[in-house]
Amino acid sequence: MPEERRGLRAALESLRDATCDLTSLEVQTYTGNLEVLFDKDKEVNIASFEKVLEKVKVSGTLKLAAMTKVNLDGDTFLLTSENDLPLHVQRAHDAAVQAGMETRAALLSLFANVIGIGG
Amino acid sequence: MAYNFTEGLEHFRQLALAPQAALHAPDEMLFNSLTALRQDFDLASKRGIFNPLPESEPPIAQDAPRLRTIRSRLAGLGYLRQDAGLPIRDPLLIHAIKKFQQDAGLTTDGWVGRQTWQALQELVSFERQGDIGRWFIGNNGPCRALERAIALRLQVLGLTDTPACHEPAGLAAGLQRLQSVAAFLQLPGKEKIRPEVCPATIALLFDQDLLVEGLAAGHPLPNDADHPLFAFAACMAKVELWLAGYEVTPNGYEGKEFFRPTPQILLLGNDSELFAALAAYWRDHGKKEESPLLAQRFAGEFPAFFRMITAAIRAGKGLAATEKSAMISRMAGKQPEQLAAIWQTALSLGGRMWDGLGRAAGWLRNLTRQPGGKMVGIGRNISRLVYHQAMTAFELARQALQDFPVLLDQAFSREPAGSDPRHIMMRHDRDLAFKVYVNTMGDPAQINHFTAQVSRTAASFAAACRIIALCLSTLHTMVSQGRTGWAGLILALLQVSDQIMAHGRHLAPAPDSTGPGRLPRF
Repeated sequence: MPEERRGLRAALESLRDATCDLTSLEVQTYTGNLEVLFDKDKEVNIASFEKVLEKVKVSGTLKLAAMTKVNLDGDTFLLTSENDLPLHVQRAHDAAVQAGMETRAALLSLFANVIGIGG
Repeated sequence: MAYNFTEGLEHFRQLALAPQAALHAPDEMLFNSLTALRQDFDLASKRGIFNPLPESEPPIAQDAPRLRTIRSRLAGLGYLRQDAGLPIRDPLLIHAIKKFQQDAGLTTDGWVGRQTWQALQELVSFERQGDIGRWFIGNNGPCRALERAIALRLQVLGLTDTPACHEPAGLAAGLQRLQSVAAFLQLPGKEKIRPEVCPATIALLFDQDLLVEGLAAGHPLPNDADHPLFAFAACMAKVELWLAGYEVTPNGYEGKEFFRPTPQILLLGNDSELFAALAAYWRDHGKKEESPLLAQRFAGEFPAFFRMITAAIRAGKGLAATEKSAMISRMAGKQPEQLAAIWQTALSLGGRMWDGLGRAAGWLRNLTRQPGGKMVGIGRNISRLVYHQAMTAFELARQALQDFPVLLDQAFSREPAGSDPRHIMMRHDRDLAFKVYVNTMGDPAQINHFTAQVSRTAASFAAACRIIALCLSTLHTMVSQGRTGWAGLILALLQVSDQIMAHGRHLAPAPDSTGPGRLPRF
């Protein structure tokens, strides 16, 4: 199999693993002061995501600021903190919601057309 | 080169008609569909049906229209002695391309990719492609490639009479004539025009539409028969007739020797090519009886001709993308059996294939609004409009197909690139569950930058999915109607070209896919 087709195969296999459930889309946005975790003078290893999260949890400074759940039928559930979120935080949350919705809708459209061909 | 239009859509047809396809899992079916689509797109390129800019491999057909256009443009700019039909790997052609790239400040790789093609378009084509001012190097004047383009343009417009006018004195003489013409035609900004290579003067020289409007205005003509206006008007007419599909070649193009028409010569009809093209133009525009006389009187009555051209330019500019797409799709769909002939014509047009498309679309729009109007130059104009529309859709669909694995990888990456705990981190779990961590001490600018990147990635992936879905759905319809040759692919692309182009605006170029751990482009 040519390399580019192997690439497509690999990408689709990861998609199969990743999208076991397209029906529910959920975004949770947390805010907190993560500064304590790092030495400002040192290069941060941003690849160690899991370790960072473990430390954040220990620090206890993380707060759920917003949560959005969008079902496949369009029903949307929204949870936000009492205080207004800073604009850039709100934007980040909205961007994740939008990205999820676009990705889901586009994938479903693609699969629908593929299944249409098979049928 | 003849094209076999019964070929095409072979892989897609086999897949669509295969009864066992429904038994496969959706991702298996998607793999098969994308593979079949990609194979048919590759075949269309390999067979010379479409001639996209090659990314790494030279085109198989050495007489491909793009290659002819590249040679012709390099010859016009003086980088080749003449368009001698050199193949893409010929050392002389590679040397010419490298010299052009060096003079234009581009990557000097001897390969005409997107950047070099765009540069040739901007410097040589007549319909405005971009800001010509970008070819000035700060305060150091024009780059060498622009100097050559100026020399060519002055020659084409009848303002100089030798092809080697990129020497300062030659350029100055030509620009002085431009200054006289601009003053006489009272062109906007004429006071800024100087007989030297400065941005204002060069912007005017390359603003073909504005020059046409000036000639259409109908100012009283100069008494001096040697005034540069006459040669300028005749040469402008040659350009516009050439762009409109008539049998005439602008000065300096395709090895044409310079010919400076004077009012006397025009009256006598001694420039037989120009005279014949003008007569044909008027005949096609409903002046059957008067056409020879109108051609003969060109020197005294050229504003009427340029008013007709202005009408086509304005109609082209006022044409919405969806209207244009629907118009062209309707035109091709009326007689699909003619597509092979349309393709044959389009691919024989050379440089004209890539120039004057806005005018051609405006001309077609005006024509469709006037019942009973004669189809001016129908073969060439319809052909290039149909080819170009389908080609644009083909290139975008091909890009969507190629980038799909990389975009998919990005869209479902557990940690989007750019996550940084000092500012923002994002975690993308298996199903569509996102966790976003915003550091309250983070830099809002960095956070916004990351957010914008996430949005772009999602939009690009969605655009690729939508484009591929459109192609699959439309091609399936074509196959079910029995249109399985190249005509099926072309009609499908035309039908959805406006939607593909609308989605294509969000299709960002995929990042380097050759890095470690990256999936290759499909």
